[in-house]
Amino acid sequence: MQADDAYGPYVKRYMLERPAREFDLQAIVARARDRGAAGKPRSSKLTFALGALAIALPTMALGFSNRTALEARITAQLTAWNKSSVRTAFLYAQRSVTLADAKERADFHFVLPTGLPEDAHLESIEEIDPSTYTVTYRRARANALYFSIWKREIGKHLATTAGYFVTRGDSIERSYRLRTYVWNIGDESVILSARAIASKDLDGMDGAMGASAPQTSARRVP
Amino acid sequence: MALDNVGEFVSRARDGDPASLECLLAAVWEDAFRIARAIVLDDADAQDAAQDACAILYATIPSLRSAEAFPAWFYRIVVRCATQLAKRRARGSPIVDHVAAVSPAPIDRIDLQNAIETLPLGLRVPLILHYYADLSSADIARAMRIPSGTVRFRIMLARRRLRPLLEIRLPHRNVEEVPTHAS
Repeated sequence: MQADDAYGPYVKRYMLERPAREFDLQAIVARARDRGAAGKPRSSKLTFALGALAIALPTMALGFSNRTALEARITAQLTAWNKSSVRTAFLYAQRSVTLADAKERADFHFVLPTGLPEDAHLESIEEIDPSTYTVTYRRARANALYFSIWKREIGKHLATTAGYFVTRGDSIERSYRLRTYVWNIGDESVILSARAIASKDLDGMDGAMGASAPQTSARRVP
Repeated sequence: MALDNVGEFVSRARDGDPASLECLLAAVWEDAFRIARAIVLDDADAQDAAQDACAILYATIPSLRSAEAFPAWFYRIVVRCATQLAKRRARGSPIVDHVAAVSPAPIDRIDLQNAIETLPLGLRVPLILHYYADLSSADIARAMRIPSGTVRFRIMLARRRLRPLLEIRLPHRNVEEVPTHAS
């Protein structure tokens, strides 16, 4: 027996010699809800929050003096970002809607993103207010795609951009390099927030959404 | 190991299947509890830490990039929950990063529990993750937020401390070596 292997049986015996306590699913679910999960994927909320941050920061940096109510609201939320109650309220303001509901309730011409990869299927549409929606596409072999779909502010173009963001989740500080890709289509802005996306997938969306809105200003981050 | 056979549950849970998520939680519970107990050294605290880890799993499994990454990802969560609890419990007293003098004489009766539990937390965690959870030194390093070289060094120190207590004989060599398969 190799010296290194000689310790394994002792450690395993130590680990297994006493019984484990009983599994209590209810207690785990209750803890998850206490943590703010409420049975929903935390990552999508976090990604949406990062997406909002990614959009709001460059928007503000461009110096728009006449902020819309939505921009002002996001600014307020960002100002209060460290206050967990505000953050929770912000994230919980989303509610799931159907595509038909979104089309009926939106105060702009609500159109889903097109040209998506073949393995992407629509998972959820969530409404923040009639001017703001988030859309999630789940993918079979890659990361999900998270879109924000906003009423476009005429005369203002959100720009494709990139940035680094530090946030905390599960008590662990993480740094994200997040890119946002923006397509302005009619009275709608489609914003994709992604940490990584294949060029061919992006080309597909660029081709489809660019073709449907030739006046858009979709720009690539160098 | 329970986590070797949960790939299907992980895949379905990531896709939002609640039944698979519950099966997954049930499958990982024992390992989570045992690892947490080896860190906090108390059943009630271990239950607390393991339930916290499972709650994080419940809430964040959709963010997991691949089912293959699940064991390391989950053990990392368990270790962090348990370590945080252990540090809260032991606040005010040193926990890790020291190596006490090794008892020169083997004890008459092998008291396995005492032998392992007298190891400092900083040595006990990598030892358990290496031998029980079969994690690589890179995964242990991520779980403990220390360099992987430090992980291998601490495993070597832990083995050196345990050797006289467990009366382990080294057949062909006198010098302890860092485990090569852990990298």
